[in-house]
Amino acid sequence: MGLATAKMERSDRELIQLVLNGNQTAFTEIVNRYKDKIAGSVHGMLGVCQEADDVGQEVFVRFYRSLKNFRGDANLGTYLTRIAINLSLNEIKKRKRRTIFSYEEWFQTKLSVKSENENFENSEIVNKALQKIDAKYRAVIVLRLVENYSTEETANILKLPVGTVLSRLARGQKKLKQILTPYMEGKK
Amino acid sequence: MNKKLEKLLYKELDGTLNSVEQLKLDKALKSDAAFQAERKELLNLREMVASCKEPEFKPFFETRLMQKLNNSASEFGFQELFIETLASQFRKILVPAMVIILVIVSYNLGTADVISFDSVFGIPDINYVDAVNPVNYLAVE
Repeated sequence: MGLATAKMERSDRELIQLVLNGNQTAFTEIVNRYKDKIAGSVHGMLGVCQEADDVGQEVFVRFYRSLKNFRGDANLGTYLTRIAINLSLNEIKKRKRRTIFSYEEWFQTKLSVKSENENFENSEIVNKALQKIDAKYRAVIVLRLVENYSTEETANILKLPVGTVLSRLARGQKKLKQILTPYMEGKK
Repeated sequence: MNKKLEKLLYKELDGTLNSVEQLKLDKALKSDAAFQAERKELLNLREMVASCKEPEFKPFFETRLMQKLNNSASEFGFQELFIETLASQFRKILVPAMVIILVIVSYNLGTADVISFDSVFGIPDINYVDAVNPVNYLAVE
């Protein structure tokens, strides 16, 4: 019983308190607890790339610096996801500004070539397709379908009304379906 | 697919259908094969998207992060400490300084012949030429 209690996981609140008292190991524990969740959101938003890794790091750096201000109103995972989505949206804006060649053309070429290849991985093609849809729809799809947040949680993270989340989800799915249909048909 | 059915379908996928809507949807699905196919396609799409999760960052994510935090902590910590110290030092002398300023301003106002900015703050009426003329401050009486 004693051993079981000792091995029991510390709550997020306890860990935050420890970090505030100067315990860095506790912060590493928080990072380990949430990094996969954040990776899912960031990779969904930006694709698997160096920027995604940088954004992932920035999420935790920002959280560390604002630890004193974290009131614990929201679940920590939700709070970190919100930071991750906002930073990803900023990164997408920056990316748009610095794009020097047409990503769309590049993607189309890649998609058509890859769809003929049986060994091509599903996750890669879906990720590429996600990158092709508008960021506002992408954010909803990533949170709702990839991260499996409920509609209300998604609305809360994005600070949008539930109705808007639902309509963006429907439109996002439609767009995604349009992009992926050739690939899905090719697989039949 | 008609708009109402489409809406019901998306609501079903999102798990927000009520019992009446569920009945309508079931009825439509039974009678319309195309609608059924559409639903199946959407379910496949959702499954595909859900399975595309890339849950891992590059190796040594935590190590790199902690290094970054430690590097920035010395810089960030110093700035924070400097600002906090400066603010706390000024806070200590804020009230006495305000009282002294008020006393000086009141005294100047009481003794001035004309009320002006210069007289309130006790600034002597001096121009640039007088200020740089050594005769004015080197003269021995």
